[in-house]
Amino acid sequence: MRKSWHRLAAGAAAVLSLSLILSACSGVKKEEGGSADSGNGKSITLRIMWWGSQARHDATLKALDLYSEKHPGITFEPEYQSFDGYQDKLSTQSAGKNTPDIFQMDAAWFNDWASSGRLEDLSSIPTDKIDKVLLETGTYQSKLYAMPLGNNAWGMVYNKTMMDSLGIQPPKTWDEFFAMARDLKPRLAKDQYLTRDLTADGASYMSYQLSMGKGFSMSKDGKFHYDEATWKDWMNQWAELRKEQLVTPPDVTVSDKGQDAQMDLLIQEKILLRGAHAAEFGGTDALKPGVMALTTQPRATQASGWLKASMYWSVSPNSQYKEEAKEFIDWFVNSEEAGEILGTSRGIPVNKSVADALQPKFTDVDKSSLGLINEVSKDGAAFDPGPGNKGGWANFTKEYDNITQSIMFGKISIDEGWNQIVKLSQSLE
Amino acid sequence: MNPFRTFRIDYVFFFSFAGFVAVLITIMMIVSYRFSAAEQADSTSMYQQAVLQQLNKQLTDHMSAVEQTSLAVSINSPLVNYVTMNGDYYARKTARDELNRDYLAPMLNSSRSMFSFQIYMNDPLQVDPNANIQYLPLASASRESWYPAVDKSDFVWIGQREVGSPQGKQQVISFIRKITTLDGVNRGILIINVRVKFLQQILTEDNSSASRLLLDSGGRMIMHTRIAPPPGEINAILERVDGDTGQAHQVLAAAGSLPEKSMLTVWSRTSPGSWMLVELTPWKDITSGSVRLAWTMAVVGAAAILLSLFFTMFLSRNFTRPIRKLVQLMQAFNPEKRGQPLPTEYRNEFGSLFSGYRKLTERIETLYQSLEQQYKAQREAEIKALQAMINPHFLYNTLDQLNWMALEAGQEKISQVLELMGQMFRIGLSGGESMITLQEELLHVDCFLKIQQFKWGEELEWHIDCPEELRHLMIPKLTLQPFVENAVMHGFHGRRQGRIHLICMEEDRGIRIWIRDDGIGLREDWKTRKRHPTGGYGIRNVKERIQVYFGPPFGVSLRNRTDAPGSEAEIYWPKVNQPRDQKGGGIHVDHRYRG
Repeated sequence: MRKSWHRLAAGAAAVLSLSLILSACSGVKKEEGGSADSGNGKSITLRIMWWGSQARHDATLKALDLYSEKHPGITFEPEYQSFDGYQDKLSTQSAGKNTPDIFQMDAAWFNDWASSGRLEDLSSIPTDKIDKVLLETGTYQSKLYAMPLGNNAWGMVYNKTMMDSLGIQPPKTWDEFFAMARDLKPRLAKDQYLTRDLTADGASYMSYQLSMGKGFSMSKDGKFHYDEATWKDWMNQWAELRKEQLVTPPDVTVSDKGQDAQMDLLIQEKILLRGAHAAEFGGTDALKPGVMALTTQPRATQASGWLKASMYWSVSPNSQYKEEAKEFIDWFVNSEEAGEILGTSRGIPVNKSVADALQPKFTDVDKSSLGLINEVSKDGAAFDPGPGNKGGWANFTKEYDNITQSIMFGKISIDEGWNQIVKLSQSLE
Repeated sequence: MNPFRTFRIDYVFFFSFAGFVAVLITIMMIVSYRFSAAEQADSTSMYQQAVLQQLNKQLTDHMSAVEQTSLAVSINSPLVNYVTMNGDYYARKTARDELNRDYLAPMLNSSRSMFSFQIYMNDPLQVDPNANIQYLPLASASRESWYPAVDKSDFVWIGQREVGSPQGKQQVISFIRKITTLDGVNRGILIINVRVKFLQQILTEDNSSASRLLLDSGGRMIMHTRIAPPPGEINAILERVDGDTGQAHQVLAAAGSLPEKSMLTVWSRTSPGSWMLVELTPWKDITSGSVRLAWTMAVVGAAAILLSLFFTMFLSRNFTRPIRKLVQLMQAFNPEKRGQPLPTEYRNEFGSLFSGYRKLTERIETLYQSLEQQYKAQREAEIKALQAMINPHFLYNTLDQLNWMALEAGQEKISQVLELMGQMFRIGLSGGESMITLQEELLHVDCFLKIQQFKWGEELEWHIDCPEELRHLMIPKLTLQPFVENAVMHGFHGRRQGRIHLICMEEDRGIRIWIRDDGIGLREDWKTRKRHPTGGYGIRNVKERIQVYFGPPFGVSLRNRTDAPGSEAEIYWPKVNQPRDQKGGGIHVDHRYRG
């Protein structure tokens, strides 16, 4: 009797203490589980890089925010800057296998990048509503490597307010252009000019040669197409203007930094016009609202502007998140909500239904861009992406800038400059 | 007041057991909370120290890379050439373009930590405050807040500030170094900016929710993640710093303080002169696990208490049920009424208790019954005695009158008989006493025999053999006469003569008297034969009286003699001295002599 009671008591005590110990253990376990569970719902950061003006930066950042909001877990690490040095930066990053997941691509370098396997195939993104001609420019060996983002045209931006007050129209031809540079100067302030010195401006020379019916000075066939007579004529025109101080002096010319609030000569009203792309107009207008307007490049025997895709999105083949990047690009070009935020910050949207939906909401700025594109499309050339950097062209472009600048600063004569250029061209393959 | 003696057992048992369990669980809760909180803080700080050391190493790597780059750039000839170049605008522009294009830009583009360069120099060609590579006039450097620090030493890290960039204003921390040519002339200042965001990324790489501070060797805050404590609190933290890594639990309550005051601070630095990483974790966060543990234990404990309450209730019920039953039975106990039956299923201590109680009650009941019988017998005897007393008085007076009448009539013999009878009555009455001396009792017998002698003459002989010292002892009155009368009336019936011998003898406890005759002896059926209405009454009376007064072994026995013809009566009663209590008239006998 007594013994069994003792055993019962001991058993009860053991059960009680065991349950306490167990509960203590389970408590600890729960705690560990709790601390480990600090939320890991798929979180992705996409690096994205582009060039542009402040207006484009703002619109793009806004679009990224909307995307993050709609796709929880996806955030962006944006890098953006002006066009200057963008290619260098991208190339350096590429060499270090450190390119952003998504980056803006230019038609001029597209072939180099696509052919060297530094771009991801984007063919899986739906493109049925996108202009086939533009798509073609982003396609290499029948695979889409760069998604075009907008229609663009090369033309001219001018200070309409000032020109109107001076009672003049922007020049229609190169003859008018050079004449106006001379005639207008006396009516302008001491440091105000119609144009800056375009001696060292390769794109403007390209327009000039094109208008003279001599074709693109550089083309994607990789051959040297500079026309000696046209080139010397161009250089002489500018040398004269420079000599007569009818264009900006060289140090002012080199200080020009497009689309910079402090350093853009057009914005500073040091000059009245300069070459520009339709897609840049939003950024320019934002710096001096309602003052600027677009027009075509001056012409000669032919028109000198050209149509092109404004720019492209490409995806790095080294990206960890290729599918997410492609999804983002799909949304960027094909969704109306993205189109609404972005407007024409990268030109007229390539997706026809997005562009149509946007049409009624177009601002005056958008309409100006569209107007230039329409105007250029009448008789403008199709853009030639050029030879890229291959075959010594990278060095040629760099040295060409040096040579033309030397001419501008009066270090060498025009003839000497041409000789150097020809000599340089011989090193091209 | 001892509760064990005051309150109901089941209550005491129940509450003390429940209290004990509650106290035990509370103690376990407190101990486990304390222990686990300390453990938690320890392991957290260990982990944090390891993380901080790792981060510190990463940061140091980045920082020293920046420092090395800065040194390499500052002594690099294109830079020095450009900074010291005079004269032609185009030459200087070309030099700068080349410097940017071929040297500085690739450096920036290839580095993730370096964000931008700022170069202070004499006569920069043009100033672009939003470029990656900025050339700035040396004259404006002296207006900067960091200038005094640089002026004193050749290079220095400075904390968070804002610089212009292609991406707008950006928060950076900067390494500043003087550009000094080989001849020892200071030609400018090189600043390498590291984006704060980049460092923050490193510091928050592990998704830690704690806030971290980066302090330079002078205790100035270079940067922080999440929250920035005011300088007073940084000083408070620094006061506790001891060694290169460590931890402290401190309350930060300087002015402009953080909402959370109680913090675990963990610090790490590579050497006493290096930067220090400090991690602040709200104490609340650290102990939250322990608090949860304590709560869990409280809930489990409450459940255990509840469970043990039921268990205790069950125990105390079962332990006290037999006791309460017993108490109830004892309260309801009435010897005249048979109560409820006692439980019989207990085999333990309770069983013994119940059986003990059962024996007790049984004995009490037997005692009651015997007392009652005794009382009844006594009452009857007393009533009979009273009845017996009425007749003698009347007879006594009548006898006296008869005696006178006999004397007047000259009947000498009748007068003598009457006188003897009178004497007998006197002894028989003897003032209502129930005990008289043996002397008087013997006289009574003598008177009776003398009266009988008138009828028998010399043929009736008797002899009384009693020692003188016994004669003053007491005997219930009229004890001997019925036996003598029995011998004369029945023993000598139909005979001419008879002898009666009366012997008294003292024994240890009492006196024994034998009354022997030589008569016919007892009839075969004397015990069972129906009594004569008057005969035999005397003997029965004596028997009962002795029985009532004294009980066994005292009593009366009647038998035939074995040595000779005739019968023998033996009377045995205790020694009683002179009556002690005159009033009550009761018999007082030493109770030792009772059964």
